Amino acid sequence: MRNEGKKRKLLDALELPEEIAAGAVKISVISFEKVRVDNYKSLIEYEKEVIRINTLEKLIKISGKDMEISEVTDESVEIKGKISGINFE
Amino acid sequence: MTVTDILNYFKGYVEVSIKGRQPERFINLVMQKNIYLWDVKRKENEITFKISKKGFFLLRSAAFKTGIRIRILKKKGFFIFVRKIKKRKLLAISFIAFFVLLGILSSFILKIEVIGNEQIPKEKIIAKLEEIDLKKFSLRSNIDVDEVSLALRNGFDLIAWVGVYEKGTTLQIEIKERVKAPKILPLDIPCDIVAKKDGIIDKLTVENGEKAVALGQMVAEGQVLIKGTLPIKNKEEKRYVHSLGSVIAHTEYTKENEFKLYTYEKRFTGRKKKTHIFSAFGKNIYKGAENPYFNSDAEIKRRVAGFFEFNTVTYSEYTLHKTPLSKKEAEEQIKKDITAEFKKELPQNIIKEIIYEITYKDNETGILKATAKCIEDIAKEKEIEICPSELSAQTPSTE
Repeated sequence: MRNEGKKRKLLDALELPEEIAAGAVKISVISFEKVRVDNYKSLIEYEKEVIRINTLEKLIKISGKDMEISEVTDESVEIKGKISGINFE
Repeated sequence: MTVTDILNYFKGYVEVSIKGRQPERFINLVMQKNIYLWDVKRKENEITFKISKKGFFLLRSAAFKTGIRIRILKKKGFFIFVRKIKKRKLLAISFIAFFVLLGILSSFILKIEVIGNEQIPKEKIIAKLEEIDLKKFSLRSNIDVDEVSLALRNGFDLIAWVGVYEKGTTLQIEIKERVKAPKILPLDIPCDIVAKKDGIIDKLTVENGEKAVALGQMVAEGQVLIKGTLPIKNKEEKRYVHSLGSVIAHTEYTKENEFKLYTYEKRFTGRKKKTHIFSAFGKNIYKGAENPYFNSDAEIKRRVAGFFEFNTVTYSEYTLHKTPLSKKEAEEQIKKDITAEFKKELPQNIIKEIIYEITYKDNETGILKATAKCIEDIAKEKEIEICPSELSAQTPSTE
């Protein structure tokens, strides 16, 4: 964890975006219809109404209607659909 | 269609459906192998997704670990297209042949168009172009615009400017014709008017000069009709003018033709021979047997399909038989022939009448002498040659 702190300090000093640091989660919401989660760990649940994604620190619960995963790679998940909420558990 | 879709299409991909417990775990396991999935859709108790052709073969171990059943829904991509084409080779060949043929055909001139010609007939221009090897089915790349233009301008005096344009497979040749400059009368050159032909003077109009012959007088070829040399009153010197005028005279043209009191009649023997000629792009590819008969008529049946031509030639043999003609028939025929000859040789509307005279050499041969009586202008200019001493006399002295 000491290492992690140093990294953050360095990024702050250089004014670089935080998601570059390994493990930092980035959640982007685009026009309430697309959610992109970068640096996730695994998919916990995948239903049309609820998608739960595990990250290093917290669990992200995305709820909505007719949701589907338009892209999955080992680094990011992109979800499309009518999104009604994003909760962290 | 996005760029990624196109890329995936060329790489090839598989639409897969998975069934079983914990499909999320299966996806996570797959993700660890760094495989890209897209269009992941949840349906009741199964998940469908698309995966690259390469990635699909790596799914097996993950499926085994999670106990998930994999079913291929669809295989898509360029490789599938290639596989289909391999089964329908003729389709592929004809598809390629279409473009190849299109390419080949569009590299030829298929039509030559001539515009702007008013006095020179189109056929003459096309014949001239053929002399420099420019005709239908010539390669477009071989056309040298300057060469074409030069050949046409050298070939026809009337052409002032030539434009050569390629419009697809049509070669358009635009021509601007020269307007002939009016003939300038060289009034400063003294001349006489002489007879172009023997004849009897009918009308004489003098515009300049002095008349040298009378009406009704018989003149010979080369005789002076209007004099350009005028005497000056009370002086020895002479004045020279460019004489002008028209001399209408009665002239005669004669012709003698032999004719026979028999003719040869064609009688078909009934023997026929058929041959075929096949040509493409104006060139003979196959030619059948030669004409086997000494005397024969050929009948050609043409069948044209695009650039291909299939001709059937039928030769029918005949023999010639001598048949006698009555005097009246033979004379009528020869008179007709001679009249046609006169009309062809002499300018129009000058023939007034034709007189025929027939004598017989023997029982079978006759001679027709025809005389065409005409009225025409026989005036011809002839320059007067002046001695240098006379010229100096003509210039007015300053004294």
